[in-house]
Amino acid sequence: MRSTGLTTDLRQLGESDHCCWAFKDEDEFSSRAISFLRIGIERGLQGVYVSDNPTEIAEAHLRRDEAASRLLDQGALSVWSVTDTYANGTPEPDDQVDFYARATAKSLSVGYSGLRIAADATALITTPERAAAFARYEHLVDRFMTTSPFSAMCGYRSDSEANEEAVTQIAALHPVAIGAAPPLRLYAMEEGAFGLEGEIDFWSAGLLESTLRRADPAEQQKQVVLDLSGIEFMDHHGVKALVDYADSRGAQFLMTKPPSHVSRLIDILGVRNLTVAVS
Amino acid sequence: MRPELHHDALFYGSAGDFVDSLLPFVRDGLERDEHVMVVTSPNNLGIIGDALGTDTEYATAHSAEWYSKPAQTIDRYRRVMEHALSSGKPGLRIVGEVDFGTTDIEHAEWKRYESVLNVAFGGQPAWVVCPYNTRNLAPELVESASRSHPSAFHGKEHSKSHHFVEPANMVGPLPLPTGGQLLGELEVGESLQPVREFVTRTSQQAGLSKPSTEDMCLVVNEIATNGMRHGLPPVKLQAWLDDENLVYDVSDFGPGPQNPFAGFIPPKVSEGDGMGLWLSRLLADRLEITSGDEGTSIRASMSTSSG
Repeated sequence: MRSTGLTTDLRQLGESDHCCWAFKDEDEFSSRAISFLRIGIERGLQGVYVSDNPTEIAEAHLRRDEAASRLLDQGALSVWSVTDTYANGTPEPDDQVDFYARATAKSLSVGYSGLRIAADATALITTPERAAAFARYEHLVDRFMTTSPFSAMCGYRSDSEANEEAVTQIAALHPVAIGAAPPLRLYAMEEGAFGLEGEIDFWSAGLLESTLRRADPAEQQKQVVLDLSGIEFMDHHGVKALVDYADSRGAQFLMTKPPSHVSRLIDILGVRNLTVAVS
Repeated sequence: MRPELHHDALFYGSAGDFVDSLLPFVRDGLERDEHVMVVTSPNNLGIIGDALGTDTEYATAHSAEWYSKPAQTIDRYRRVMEHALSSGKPGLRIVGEVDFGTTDIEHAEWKRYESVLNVAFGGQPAWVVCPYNTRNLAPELVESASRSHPSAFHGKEHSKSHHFVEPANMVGPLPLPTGGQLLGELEVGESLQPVREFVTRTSQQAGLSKPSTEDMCLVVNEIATNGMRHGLPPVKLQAWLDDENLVYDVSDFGPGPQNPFAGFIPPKVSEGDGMGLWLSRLLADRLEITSGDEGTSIRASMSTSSG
């Protein structure tokens, strides 16, 4: 089982977990990123720190930490730059997933039990177009993780109102949030299912709409299994966002484990493209 | 084919009158292959059933169960109509004998319902006849039927009622329970999360069951959303508790919904607008909207002994 929801304990994150951190302070990010990587390396994973800075500068910075310095010497920890890793900052979503799939296979082939990265990806969402493409990648890589020993901590600096919105959009595509959680999270699960968590009301229904469009869960299947066990609250605005998306794709949602108030709401609204699975 | 709703009152004084008037109505509908539904007392259902024989197919329900709460009854009829028309029926014939309950408020709720029905199902190919028992019902209820029904039914024929009052003038607010103990109040801010926490806490404090607590959470969340979107701030939320009911009051300084039927007419999910009040009327025991110079107050109540 992959972790979901808000977490503060990095030790709870396993070899396929995908977390987002909207950080304010760069030093705080790098120190927790190193903890995240070190925990993974202790468990047999290979660790990569993907930095916004040139690799030499990033490595020098990391070496101020004694444990990190040792891991760098051993080769279990590497430093890559965002530019090299993400196709000069404008990666094709599918290609980027392939890149990490190959890197994971390589880690496995040299004896590690998987690959773990911690990336400061702030530079990859600086324009709305870049942010949209990268959001799509974040979801595709989330699907990849459900079946692969690949885990990631994706950091985004969130220090202005304009940028906060973009970061929330991205954070909503991660199953795990560190620090502040977005109002909702849509993520991939095993066997092609999806999970939806959080609180969906008038204010967050717009985020659900855009998140559904970006993740596009109906792209490969017209019957989409949606696990609602992590829904804390959903009103009719949330139901409408799901219905509108399903209508636009000619798809159906089969909802599993909905909270009782959501079952009642769906029953009352009598919407034809949302069905509650009989458990 | 009737392209519009017919909503008739039938005044009867005996079981004989009831059968004489309605048997031809039901038979005629069945012959036309219309969807026929009879909602009345178990006794009247038995009489109709005996007269029609066992090989006729029509839907039945007991008034005491069917007329549970006006919004719920409208929703049930809506589903019956949608189902009948989507399965190819040319129209519907409904005998609907309202159970007016026992209290003044219940009487007022169901009188209002009879007026709302004209609008909720206007344009539907349905002929609804509402039997009023002139020997059992309070005279004021019998008399109100001429105002809420555009016509009266006399077995096969119907005649225009000269006392009919436009529904918009019949659907004003009714008194809601007030006073009791103020459990708490909250100014509704940008986030609705504190509203939901407030409702969950006060509902639990009042001893509401888990499903009722969740229902009230949905209701107050929807009403507060409307207040935030359409009202004039500040939007204030109060919780009141008396011996029987937990009442939530959401008030703001705006004029309130302009449509007198707000929340009585089932909207389509795809349209979105009007959904909040409709859901709220379905989920709460009672809901009243009052607007005036000082603003708007929407109150939703739930019995503390329900479910």
